[in-house]
Amino acid sequence: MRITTLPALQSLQDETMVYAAITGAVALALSILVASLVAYKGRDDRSYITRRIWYVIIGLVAAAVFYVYNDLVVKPDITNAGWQSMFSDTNLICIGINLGVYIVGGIILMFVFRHKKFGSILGKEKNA
Amino acid sequence: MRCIESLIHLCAMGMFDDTEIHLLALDTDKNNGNFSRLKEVKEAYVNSKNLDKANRTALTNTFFSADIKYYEFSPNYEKKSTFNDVFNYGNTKYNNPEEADLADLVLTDNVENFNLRHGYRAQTHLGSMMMYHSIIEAARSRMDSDLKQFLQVLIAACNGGSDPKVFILGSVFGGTGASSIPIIPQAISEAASIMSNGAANVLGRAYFASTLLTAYFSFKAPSADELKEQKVIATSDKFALNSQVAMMFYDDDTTVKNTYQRFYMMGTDGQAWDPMVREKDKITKTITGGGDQKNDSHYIELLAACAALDFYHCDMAHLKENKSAGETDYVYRAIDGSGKFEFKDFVGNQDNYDKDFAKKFGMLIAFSFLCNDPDIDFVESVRCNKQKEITGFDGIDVNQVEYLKKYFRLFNVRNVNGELAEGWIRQIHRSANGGDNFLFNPKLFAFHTMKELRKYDWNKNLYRGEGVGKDWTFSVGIFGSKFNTFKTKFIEQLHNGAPTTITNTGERFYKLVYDTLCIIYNIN
Repeated sequence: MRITTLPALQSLQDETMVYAAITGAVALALSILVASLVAYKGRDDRSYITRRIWYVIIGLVAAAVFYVYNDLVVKPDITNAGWQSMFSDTNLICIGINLGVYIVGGIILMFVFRHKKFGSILGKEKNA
Repeated sequence: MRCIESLIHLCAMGMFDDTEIHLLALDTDKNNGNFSRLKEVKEAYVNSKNLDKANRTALTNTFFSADIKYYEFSPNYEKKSTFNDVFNYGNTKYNNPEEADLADLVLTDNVENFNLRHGYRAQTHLGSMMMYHSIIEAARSRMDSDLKQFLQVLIAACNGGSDPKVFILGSVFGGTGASSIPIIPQAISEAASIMSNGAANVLGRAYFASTLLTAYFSFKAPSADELKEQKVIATSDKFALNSQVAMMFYDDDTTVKNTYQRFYMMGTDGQAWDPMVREKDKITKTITGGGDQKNDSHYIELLAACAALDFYHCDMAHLKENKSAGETDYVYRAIDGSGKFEFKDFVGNQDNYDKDFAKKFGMLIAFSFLCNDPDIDFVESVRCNKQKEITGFDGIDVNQVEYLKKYFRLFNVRNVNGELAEGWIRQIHRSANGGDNFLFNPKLFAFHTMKELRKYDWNKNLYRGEGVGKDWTFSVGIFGSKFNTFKTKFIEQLHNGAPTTITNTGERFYKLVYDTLCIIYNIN
């Protein structure tokens, strides 16, 4: 849908920020799933490092894909160059929202599920 | 010795929960290979349980639950190594000729002069007398000894009113066991009386039972030269006859019947078992004893150990009745003609003992893989904090873990240059003619290299597909592994489990492993 009015732009910006939060949450859910699929290992178990790496990759990829999608697919629908600039600023803010939900939500869930595989991303626990 | 070895393995499984066992190992042949192996297994057990001897306690529903106190006694035949030396035949012939004549009447010249250091060589008429004499001499001696410590405990138990149960493990066809079973109760009772100045009445207070283990193996017959050199050698062609005569004695003798409340009769359908078949290429002469005599284990020895278990569970009221009436139970267990052993063949199926035995035996085997598979090395990796999600166990002593690994090498298999050498359970399986004859899935015994061990699915191929244990498996999922499933549940148990009063960190760890394994195998 082409954006031709200011109220439509503002509505688009609001929606994009909401989608940014949802994308962060979905990425977090994917990260939890991948963490549960990474098996524990015997001997020197460094599987928590593998889960940590996947957590970082998924978070960065989700934010990057969201930003690029908005920039290449959504922004061209805005007719006014100035409004495109405003949307670009919103897109930058959405990286923060995306990563904010992902990181803050992730850390909270890691502590909540400290004894599960997702929580192992935090590393060595204090003595039980 | 091998029966005691099996008993220790039963203790490791947890079959003797909440029990303090005082084990007295009696053998004339103190350098015997099986005696050495018993000591290895015992050392591995007690130190796996707790390195601190003073703080070892009996536990329940876990591995290594029994508290084993070990003693050993070997009559000293280093200096006086024949009957004639011990009896001081020369002086006796001069000073008490009638005693010497009596000895000559019952003992042949060869029997009076063979070397006693390797045992009594199936000369039970000599052995009974010599063993009795040795025990009394040890009790009279001013020197402390394991035997005296054992007797002190027995005296305390009798005087304290706790009615101890004494179980004798031995065969009826060989030397030391066959010689000792008839006289042990009287010998230890007399010895205890000497030590307590007549205060202790062991025969009156304790309850006695014994195995009557008949001939089940054979070995190479000696050559004429060997017989001439050794004077007396036990030959396995006489074992069946020895067994028959012994059984007649135990059925008939009044003293024995008044002493023992229960006898466990056991045997096999033949003597085809060669206990040293793995060494047969190296054996060039008959082994009378010593370090070279290291017989492989046999299922009948496990049955003997299970007999001890049965006796300890025996109803005290019934034993008291037997004791006061001078009655003796003669019990036996028979299996069907297929040759396939079930768990109930060893422990019966009263009160689900067979399921309990299956559970504990299987879980110990699973623990052995977790501990000794080099790709898992679970216990050591937890101790070194290489399992970041499992904390609180870095206090386990490194030596305790080493002893645990050593125990499992003796129990299951050990790695010798990539090939797997037999431990106790594989020898037992072989003695039952292999295949699926012995309790567990035949795949448990089918791998022979480390590579094959890593591929073995102990999650689903531990028990046989029918009978007790057929439903005791767990799946691992597409991305998972046996260890992954185990560790996930272990962490859950670690944080959600009930608080424990176990003070030793290692034993607390074993309890968690035991509980976790029972849960993942769906054993109620």
